[in-house]
Amino acid sequence: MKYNEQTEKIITKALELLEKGESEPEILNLLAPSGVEGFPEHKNELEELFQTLKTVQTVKNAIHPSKELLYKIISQIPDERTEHQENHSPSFGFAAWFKFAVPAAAIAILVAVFYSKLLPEESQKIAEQGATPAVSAPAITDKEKIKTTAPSPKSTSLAADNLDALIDEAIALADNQQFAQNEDADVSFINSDDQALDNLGQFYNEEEL
Amino acid sequence: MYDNKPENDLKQLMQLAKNGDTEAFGRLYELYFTPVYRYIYLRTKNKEEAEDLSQAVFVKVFKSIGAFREQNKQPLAFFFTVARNTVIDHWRKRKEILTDKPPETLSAESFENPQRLIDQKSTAQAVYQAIENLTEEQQEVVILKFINDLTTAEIAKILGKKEDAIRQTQCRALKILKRYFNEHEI
Repeated sequence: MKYNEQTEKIITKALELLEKGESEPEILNLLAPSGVEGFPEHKNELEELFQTLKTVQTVKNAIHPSKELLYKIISQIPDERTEHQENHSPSFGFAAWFKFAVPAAAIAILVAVFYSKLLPEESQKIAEQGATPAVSAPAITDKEKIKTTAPSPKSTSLAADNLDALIDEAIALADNQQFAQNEDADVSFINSDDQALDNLGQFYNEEEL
Repeated sequence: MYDNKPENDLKQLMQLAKNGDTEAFGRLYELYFTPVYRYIYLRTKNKEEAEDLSQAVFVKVFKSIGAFREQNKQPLAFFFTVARNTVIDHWRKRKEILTDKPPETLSAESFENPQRLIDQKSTAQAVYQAIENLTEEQQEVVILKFINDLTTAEIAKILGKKEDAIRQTQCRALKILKRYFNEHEI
């Protein structure tokens, strides 16, 4: 029993060394050139082991699948791949689509509900506005547009810049005064007699335009 | 371990195959076809079944290559895991294990007279019979280790065992084989 256990250990060790790439003579020698500890005292057992391995490995050369089978399998690759993708991509595509479609649909429903409530009120307002003359907002002059879009240049130490800044300020002041006048006119227009407004409505004929 | 290509090349090949590179698939098939076929043939002892199952293995590998994780497994181990599962599934379906069935190319007479096998230079076929004297686990270890050159670590992963257990199994299997060969003068 003790001998068997020892033999088993030696065989196991020898197989490990074989797996690591050591050659049979190296394993059989006491101290191989590579420094691997050998088993010269168990030379006979190990030689039998190596012979057994060689016999078993004769099967390697005896079993050869036909190349036609390999070519057949390889030729099926594109078909199998296409089939596989067809079988799987829809589910994946649907899942991915589902992730985006559900929130999008929810947003669309919310927007639809919002507009369905808002639109009647808006249309009512528009109808009401159509019945009464619209009050025009004060016209924005070109200068105002420029003023709102382009800031006035800041004063610099140069005399020309200072002059430009002063001119711009004067224009802005005049525009503001004009705006105030227009605003007063609008207020008075709004507060004017209803009858006058009706008259204005009668003058205005949309179809003539 | 099976071939001389560096591991990284094989992993790169697997990665390419995962990304749908058909040529990479073809290369992997060429590399692993023979060892996989050998394994299946030795487990089934039937040429037609080995061919059908080999085909099934590569189709399965093709379909499941997305599940391959290179950090966990070597490509060869991945192929053999699929091959082993395919053989087991095949046996489950058939509800029989072909341990007693001799290779189809051998007559009953030739099994009774192993010396005749040697005379006929059919050592390999005598080895088939010797392997059939082993337990299922021993057969798998011998086929994977000594015929397909997998490492002990790779076999341990495929069979779900510890490396020490695999070493012990291969050692006992070799002793049985050695005794068989001695008894039959092979």
